[in-house]
Amino acid sequence: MTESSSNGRRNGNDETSAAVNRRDPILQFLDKIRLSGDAMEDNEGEESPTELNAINSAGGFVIVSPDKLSVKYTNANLHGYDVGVAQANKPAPVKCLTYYFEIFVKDAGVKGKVAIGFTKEGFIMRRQPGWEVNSCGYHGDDGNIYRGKGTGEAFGPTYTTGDTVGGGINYASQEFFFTKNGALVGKIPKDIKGHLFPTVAVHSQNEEVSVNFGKQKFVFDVKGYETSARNKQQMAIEKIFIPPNIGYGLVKSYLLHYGYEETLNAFNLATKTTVPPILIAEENAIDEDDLHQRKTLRKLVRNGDIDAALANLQDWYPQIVQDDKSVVCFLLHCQRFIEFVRVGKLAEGVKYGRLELAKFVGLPEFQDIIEDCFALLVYPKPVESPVGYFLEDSQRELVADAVNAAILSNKKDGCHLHSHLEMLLRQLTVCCLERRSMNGDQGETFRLHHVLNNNSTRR
Amino acid sequence: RSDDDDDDDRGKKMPVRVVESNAAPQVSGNDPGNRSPLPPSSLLAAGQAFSGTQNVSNQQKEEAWRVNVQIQGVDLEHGYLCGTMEALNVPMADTPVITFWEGEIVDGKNYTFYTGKWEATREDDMRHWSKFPSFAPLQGQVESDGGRQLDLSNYPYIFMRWKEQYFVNVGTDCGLTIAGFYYVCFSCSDGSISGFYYDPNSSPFQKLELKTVNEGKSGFSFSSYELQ
Repeated sequence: MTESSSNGRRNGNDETSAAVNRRDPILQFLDKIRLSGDAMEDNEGEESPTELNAINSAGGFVIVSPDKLSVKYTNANLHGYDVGVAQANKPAPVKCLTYYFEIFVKDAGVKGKVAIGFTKEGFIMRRQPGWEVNSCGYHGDDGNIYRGKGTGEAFGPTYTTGDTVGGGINYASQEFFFTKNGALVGKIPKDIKGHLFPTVAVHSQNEEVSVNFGKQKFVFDVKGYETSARNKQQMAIEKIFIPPNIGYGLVKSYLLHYGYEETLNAFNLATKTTVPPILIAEENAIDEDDLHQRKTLRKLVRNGDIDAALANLQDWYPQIVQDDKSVVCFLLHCQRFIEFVRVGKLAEGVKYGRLELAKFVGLPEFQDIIEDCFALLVYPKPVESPVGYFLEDSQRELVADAVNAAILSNKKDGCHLHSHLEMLLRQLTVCCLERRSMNGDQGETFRLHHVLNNNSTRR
Repeated sequence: RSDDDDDDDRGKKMPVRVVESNAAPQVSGNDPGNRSPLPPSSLLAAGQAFSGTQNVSNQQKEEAWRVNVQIQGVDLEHGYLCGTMEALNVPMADTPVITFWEGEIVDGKNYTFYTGKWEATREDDMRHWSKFPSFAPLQGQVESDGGRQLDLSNYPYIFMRWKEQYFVNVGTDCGLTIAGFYYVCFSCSDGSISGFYYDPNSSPFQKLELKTVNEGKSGFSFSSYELQ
């Protein structure tokens, strides 16, 4: 054997990626429009278990109920290879903090050998979860935990008819945890990699178990468990000291970047009058005129007054609108068209579109967005249509951001395209993704809108 | 509860091919009284282990991997043997990489010096065999008539080709390739092995050098007699 020759002979790659980076940075705003059209997926496209898999369950040993949420043992328990096992129809999703499900023991039968646990695809469906490698199970008859061999370890209480037992995975700590009747029983390290199926098992006559994959409220407060896990991490973070002027500096640079002139003035005043006063290092002398102009432009665009915005741009920053096929021009003309549609002036909108937007038709970067935008004309109620996102305030905000970014990127002193705060958030997101990737691609990652939404409900 | 049948024997056995002679004898007129073309060698037998290096240097770097080989089976009648090869300290792998190989013994009856496959031309064959000093006395005859007249049964060296068939403990995306094969020369006197890896898509003449490992001999040995 020897090394494969497809390693390390690629020099061409560096050149192509450099070319990509040299493209017009304002183009990213077009990508943001494209993203508005896609629904924001909360669970990153992962499916969750909803019912038991009746097809691969231990045929001949169990019957799965028609609603696929119950399982009953039908065999005679003679040895260790006639366990009645059922797995969920999908493996537990991994891109979240925890996964959890519960079973309710309807009838512990003759010997109460019920079990709950996790197994992999291809598990031998005649064996208790935990008796085979790469599986684990909490058994009701002895309260032991089984983690890959036929002998178990003491773990918790036994359980029987009428008990609700839960099994869960904590991806951050890489542990399995089990509960009984709403109380945590214990946790063990999860050494199994890859996707795991929630699994239930019954092994003596008349045993019957029903399963809850989340359709009903869980007996155990799993959300509370998650919150306390997150809080632990949060407390560790808050113990780290960061001098206050850094935080204030970030806010100040954000306000300056986006041209929030009045807020910035109020903020500056406030920082000078705090006790002790916060000293924020000035990076460059602030160009007051520029700040005022950018603020004015933002205000005009956010109010939908595009004609005035274009006129002012022509006066103050002519180089931005010099190339009338630039992304900024496209976004402004597109927004003007949208404003016509918003007030129902369709004929004028069409006229304007023919005049100003026609030149963008056929250009690859703009084609799909133009088509979606023109589609607004087709619907009697454009706001409720699939392209209704063009009429939201967020679209005006996006155009305002693009204009601002174009002005900043044109400055000679090399302003960043993003404010420091955003760069920090981008770095945080990437680091969290990388950390998750190192964790076998399991666990939560940093999602800004999640954090903002959750924080607002805490008050 | 604990499992009843807890004492499963999970040992997995290394597969050894049941030999069918799917290679037609390439040389006609064998001696019916002699079952195996070559006499058995105690050091080329199932269980024998070897250890050494493979030099994978190329224009960009100098590198050598430690290699262990173990013979798993030998069938001299059909010129067949097989074994495993383990490469240690491979930079792109985080565990030693093990492959399973099958060998052809150049005995003049089952296989000759001409490979006739694996993208090796006659020129490639001669280029590689001639790198073994022990091939020199045979070279003239092999070049002229393929070595038909040679009696290799008394020669103190055994020539073979080893072809790795699959990776045992890693996937095919491990960054290594087993597309090529080794030209191998085995010394009957001391069991030392040298070889050259041939693969048109890799750097040429990567040399394999192994010696027998006799401490804690892994395997078993038989003695065999023949009454004449």
